[in-house]
Amino acid sequence: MGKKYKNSPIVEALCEFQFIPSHPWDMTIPGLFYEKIRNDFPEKKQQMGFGVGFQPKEGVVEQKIEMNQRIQFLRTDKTALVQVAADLLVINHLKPYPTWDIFKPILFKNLDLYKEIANPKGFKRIGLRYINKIDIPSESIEMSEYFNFYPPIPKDLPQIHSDFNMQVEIPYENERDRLLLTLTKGKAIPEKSDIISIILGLYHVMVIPEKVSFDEVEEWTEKAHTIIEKAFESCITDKCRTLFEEEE
Amino acid sequence: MQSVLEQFNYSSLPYYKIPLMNQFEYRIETSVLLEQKIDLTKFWEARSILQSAENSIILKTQEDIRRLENLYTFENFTDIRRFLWIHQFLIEILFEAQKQIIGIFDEQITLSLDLHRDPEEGWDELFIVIKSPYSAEKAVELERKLFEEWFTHRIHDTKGKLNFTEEPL
Repeated sequence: MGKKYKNSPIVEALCEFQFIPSHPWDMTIPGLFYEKIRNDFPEKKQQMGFGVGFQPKEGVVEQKIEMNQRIQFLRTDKTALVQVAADLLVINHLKPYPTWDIFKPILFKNLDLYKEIANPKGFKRIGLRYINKIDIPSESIEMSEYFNFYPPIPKDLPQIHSDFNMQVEIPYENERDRLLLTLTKGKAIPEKSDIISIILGLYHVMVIPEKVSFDEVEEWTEKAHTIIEKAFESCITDKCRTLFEEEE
Repeated sequence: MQSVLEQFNYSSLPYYKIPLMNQFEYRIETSVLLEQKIDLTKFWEARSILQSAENSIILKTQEDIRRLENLYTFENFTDIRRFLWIHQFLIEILFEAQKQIIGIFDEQITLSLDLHRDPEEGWDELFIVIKSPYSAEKAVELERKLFEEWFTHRIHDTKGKLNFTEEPL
């Protein structure tokens, strides 16, 4: 059981499931899905999404750009939403994030409904992601006082720096999974002028298709959550923790 | 000595003083070596990777604000970013506005955003400033057309936080 904070820095948690379809995408799926979830997520919003990536084709790697339409189903208070696109289901929870014990059943309720309607063959990719926005009431900080994970500046260079973006990928489970740790300043938009806002992103992904089955997905998310929770606590110091006010 | 992170205030600074990672040019790959890397990533042949579109609402909103920076000049960069972050409903309207304005004023214009505020009155409003080469009469005519054909249908959605004005180029 992880620590609980009164002022949790989590601004968004999301779980994404990309599927291997058993048949071509049927445009009626979002409508059928909406009928099942409209009591919890009554508001609809259409979005155009695009993906850029690389795909192997006859021995070469080709760049691929895909446009697709996604539909968002939002709770009335807009704190949570479900996104559906071709072979994709994403469940997002914005601030205030409840707890894992509350978020997790929402994931599996929606996953079960999606499976029932779309009948996918398996998982192409699964991702659990937490985005933390750490607001430090200061105009200047020593990074090491707040973080154990930060860009070290060689001692011969000036030690005062501004915006940065740091990412590390850590393989897990014989490279089936990866944890992507991101610490960035500059992309985050502070809500006040006299604070420093830093984004600490933790993203655990199953990157090799079909390595986790439908029966194993609950166990996978549980492990992913434990890894993310541990990584979060490892990346911050006690001084940083005091900003969030730990609950007994 | 430990490394120190400092908060820089970028408001009212010209574009080239904005952090590199927020500049459009920074995101265009100019290194030949890094570009070649795309063809050299042999290990990707073993698997099919299609990077998904941004699924995070928070990060997508931040990305949308950055995309707006390519369509409009932000006159007071930090303040406008913060204003859009707080009034996120304006983002979609601003994307739409750019298309509508170009449709009516043509492409000979430049667009900027300017934040006007009166802290004593608790009032703040974002202005789209259309800088056009037209005569005053023609500009007024086009402004009226923009209002009647588009803005009047969206005025309710702006919640009093967005307006537009025309200035000579």
